[in-house]
Amino acid sequence: MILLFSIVFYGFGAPDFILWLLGSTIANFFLVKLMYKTEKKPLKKLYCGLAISVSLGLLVYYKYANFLIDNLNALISVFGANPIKMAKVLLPIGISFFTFQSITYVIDTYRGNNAPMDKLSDYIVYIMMFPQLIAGPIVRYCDIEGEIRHREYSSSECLQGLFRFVIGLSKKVLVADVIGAQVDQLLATPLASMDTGTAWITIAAYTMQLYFDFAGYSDMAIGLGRIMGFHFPENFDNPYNSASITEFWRRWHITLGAFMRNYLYIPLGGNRCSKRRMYFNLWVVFLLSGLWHGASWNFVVWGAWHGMWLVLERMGLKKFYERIGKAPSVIITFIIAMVGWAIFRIEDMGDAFTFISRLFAFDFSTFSIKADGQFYTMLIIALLFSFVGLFPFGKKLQDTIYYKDYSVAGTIVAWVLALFMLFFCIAAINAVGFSPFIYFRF
Amino acid sequence: MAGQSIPVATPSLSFENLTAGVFQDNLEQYLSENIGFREPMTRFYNQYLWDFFRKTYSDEVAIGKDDWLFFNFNVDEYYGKEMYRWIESNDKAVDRFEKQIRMLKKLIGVLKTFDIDFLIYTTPDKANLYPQFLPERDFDTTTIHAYDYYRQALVENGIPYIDMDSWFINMQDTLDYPAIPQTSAHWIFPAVYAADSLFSYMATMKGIEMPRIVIGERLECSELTKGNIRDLEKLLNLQRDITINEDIYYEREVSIRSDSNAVKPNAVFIGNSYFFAINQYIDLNEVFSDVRYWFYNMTEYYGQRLQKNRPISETDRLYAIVNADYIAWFTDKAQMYKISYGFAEDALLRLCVSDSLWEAEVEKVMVAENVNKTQAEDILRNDIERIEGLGGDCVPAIRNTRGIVLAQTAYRINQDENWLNALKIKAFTDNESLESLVKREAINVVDGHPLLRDDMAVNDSILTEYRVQEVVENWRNNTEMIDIITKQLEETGLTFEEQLLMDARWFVDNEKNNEK
Repeated sequence: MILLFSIVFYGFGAPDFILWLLGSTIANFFLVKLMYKTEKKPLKKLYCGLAISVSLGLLVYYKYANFLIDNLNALISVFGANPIKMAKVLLPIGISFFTFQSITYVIDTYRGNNAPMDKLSDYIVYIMMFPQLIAGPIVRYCDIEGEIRHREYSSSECLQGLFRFVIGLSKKVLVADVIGAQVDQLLATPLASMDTGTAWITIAAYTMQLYFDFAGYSDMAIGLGRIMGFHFPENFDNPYNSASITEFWRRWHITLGAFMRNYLYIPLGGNRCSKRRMYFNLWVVFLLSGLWHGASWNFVVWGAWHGMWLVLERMGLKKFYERIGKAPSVIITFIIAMVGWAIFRIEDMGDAFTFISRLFAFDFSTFSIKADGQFYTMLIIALLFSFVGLFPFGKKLQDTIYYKDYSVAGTIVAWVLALFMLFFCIAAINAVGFSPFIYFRF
Repeated sequence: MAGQSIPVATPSLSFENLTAGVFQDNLEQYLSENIGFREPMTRFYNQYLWDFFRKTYSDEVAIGKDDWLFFNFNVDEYYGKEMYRWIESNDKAVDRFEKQIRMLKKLIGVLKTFDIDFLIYTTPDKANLYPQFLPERDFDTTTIHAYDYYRQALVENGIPYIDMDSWFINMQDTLDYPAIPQTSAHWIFPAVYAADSLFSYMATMKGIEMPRIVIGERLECSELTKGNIRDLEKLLNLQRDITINEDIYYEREVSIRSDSNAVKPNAVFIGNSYFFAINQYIDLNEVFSDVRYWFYNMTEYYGQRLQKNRPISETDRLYAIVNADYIAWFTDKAQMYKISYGFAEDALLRLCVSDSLWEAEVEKVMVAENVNKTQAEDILRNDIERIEGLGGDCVPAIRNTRGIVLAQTAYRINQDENWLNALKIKAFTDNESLESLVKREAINVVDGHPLLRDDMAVNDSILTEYRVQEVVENWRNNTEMIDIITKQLEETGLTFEEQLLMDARWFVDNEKNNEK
C-alpha cells in the first residue's frame, strides 16, 4: 500500500520523472546486491562507484546542467566565442533528498553496516516513501531497517503522529506562510534605500519563515511516518538556541549534517588530520552543502560563509564564546545565521551585499515597514517558540508536546486540539491558497 | 460567498493531460472550489483574521480606521498610487487624456446636430468624502490624477460637467448619516438628492420642464438598502456582521410630479454602479420616456425599472444614441481615467463611419498588422484618428446616413401606437421578435418596399395576448413579483408558470379596463 501510494504520489506530482526515479532506484538496488555478493574488493568498489554515479549523475544533470552551461557561456563569452545552446533542464522535485538517501544505503552496505534488502519492493518503499521523499529527513537505512519489514501500529502512536503532523502543518500554514508573504513584499522594495530597522525585521522574519517552513515539513513527514509505524530521525533541535555555528549544524537540518559528516567529512579525513587539512575539509563540505541547496552562486557563498565561521571557531572563536557566556554566544550565532540567510534568500549577489550593508548601516532615520498585526504576531510567536528551548520550562514544554505519552484525559485533549488545528489549517489553506514548501525547490 | 468565482469544470483525465501536469492543476483547482465545508471554513478563517488582526485577503477591500471599508482602488487613487496600474508615465497619461478630450469634443459636436445633449457626471468618491477613516499609506505626489486633469480640461473645453464629488463634500454635514455608509461601496438614499440636481441641470440644458422628484416622509430602510449598506462588507466573507449603527440610516418617500408642460425626454446613461442607487429609489420611466443604462458600456439595462439586461453587443446602439435627447456619462474619481468606457469612440464610429468604410478600414488593418478581424476592430477603436475625416479638430463628417435614418425611422414606428400594434400582432403570430420586425419595417420605409403593417389587420385578442406575454417577460425579471407569485402558489396549488400567466392576464385585463 505504502509503495503503491508513494509511486502514485510522486508520479502525480512529477509525471515526467517518475520513470527516471524508479529506474535509478531499481538500478541501485541490483548494483548494491551485486556489490554485496562480490568478494573482490576492486569489483566491490566499482559497483559502489557505479551505484553512486547513477544517483549522483542524475542529480548533477538535472540540478546543475543549467548552472554549468550558464557559467561556461559567461566564461567563453569573455573570449568572444558563441554560447553553447542547451534546452533548460527541469529539476525533478525531491531529487536532492532521494539521491542522498540512496547514497547512504549504498555506502552503508559497502561499509558492511547492513546487508542489502532482499526485496526490491522494500527498497523502493525505503527510497520513495511519500512522507519524506520530497524534502527529507534523509533517513539512513539502518534507522528504519526493521520497520520496513515489520511495523507496530497503536492508537497512541497514531495520535502522536497525527499531533506531530498537525503541528508541522500549523508551523507552515499559520506561521511560515504568513511571515513569508510579508518578507516577499519587503524584499521586493528597493533594498538600497531600506532603513536598518526594516532590514533587521525583514531578515529576522525570513529566518523564522525558513525555520518554520522546513521544520514544519519535517514535523509533517515525521508525523505521517509515525502514523504508518516508522520512526524517522529528528531534523531540527532548536537550532537558534545554538551558541556557535558548530552547534548550529548539529541542530539545523540534522540529517543533512549527519550525511555530510558520515559520507564526506570523515572520508576526507575529518578532524583526524592536520589542522590545515581539517579546515580544508570543513570548507569543502560546506561549499558542497551550499551547492546542494541550489545551483546558484549565492548558495555557494552561503556555504562558504558557514564554512568560514566553522573554521574560525576551531581556530579559537569557540573559546571566545565560552568566555563571554551562553546568552551573548547565542545572540552572536543567531546574527551570523541571519546574515547567512540573507545570502541564501537573495539570489543576486549584488543585491544580497546591498541588503547586508543596510543591516549594518545604522540608518534609523525612517521605519518604512508597513506590515499588519498578523505578521508581527506570528513573528513574535515564532521568535518565542524558537528561543523557548533555552529555558528549562521551555524544554519541558517541548518534550510534553512532542514526546510525552498522554493519559486518557491528555489523549482526549490532544485529539480535540489536533482536530481543531487541522480544521484551522485547512480553513487557512482554503481561504488563502497554498504555497509550496521552500525546501521543495532543493 | 461574495466575490468573483470562476466555475471549474471537472478535470478530464488523459495521458497527455497527466504527463503535462494539466490534469493535476485542474484537479487542485476543482478540489479547492468544491471542497466540502468550503464556505464555513473560509468564513471561519476570515472572521479570525478580522477579529484578531483587522485583516482581509480580499484584494478589493481596504480596511480603514474604525472599521471603515473602502475599495482598494479608491484608496490607491487618493494616495496617488492607482495611476501606474493603467499607464506607465504621466506623459502618456496626459497624451491619452488630451486625445479623449478631443474625441469628446468631436462627439459632442456631432450629437448637437441631432439636438442631443451630452454631459459628464462624477459621483462622490468615498475616499474623498471620508479621508479621516482611510488606512495610512504613503502619498505618491509624482503621479497624475485623471480627476484633477479632467476637472479642469472639461470646463476649459466647454464640456458640460457636474462634479457631485465636490458637491457632496460641501453638503455632507447637512446629512443625518454618511452618504456612503461605513461598510458600503455605494451611496444610498442621498443618491436621490444628486439625481434631483442632475435632472434639473438636464432640463436647463434644453430649456424644458421635466418631471420633478418630490421627496416625502421618512421611511425605514428597505431590505435592498439594508443589503447595500453592507455591500463592501460582503466581500470580506465573514462569519458575523461587522457592528455598525444601522439605525441612523433611513429613506424617504419618493414620487414624481409632472406639470402639464413637463416633457419626458429619452436618455442614455453610461457609467458605473452608482447609477443603480438612483434607479432603486426613482422610477426613471416616470422621468424619461425611453431610458437605458449602459453599465460600464458592457451591459444594457432597460425596460420597466431597468430590470431587463443584455450584453451591449446585442443592443442597437445607433438607435439608442440617435433617438436620445440626453447622453450622460457617470463616473467617479478613481475611474475617471477610463473616460467614457469606450462609448465615445463607439458612438463616433457609428455616427460617422458607414458600414462599408468600416469594413474597408478593418481589412486594411488586418493585412497591415497581420491580425484577425476582432483584433483589427479593437485597434481601430483605440486609434480613432485612423478613420478618414476624423483627424485633427474638424467636426467629422456624418457618413453613416443610412444607419441614422433607419434608426430614426424605427423610432418613429415605435412611437406610432397603431403601427406598433400591427407589428406586435405579426410578432405574435410569426413568433418573431418585435425589435427585428421594427428594423425590417424601417428598411421597408427607407427603401420604399411594401410595409408590413399594411398586411396586418388589427386583432384585439392577439394584441392582448402579445401584451400578456410582455407582462410575463417583465415579471420574470422582477424579484418582487416573483415573490408575490410564489407566495400565492400555496393557496392556489398551481405551478409557477400557470400562476404567472393567470396573474399576467388579470393584470392586462385590469389595464384595459382602466384605459376604458
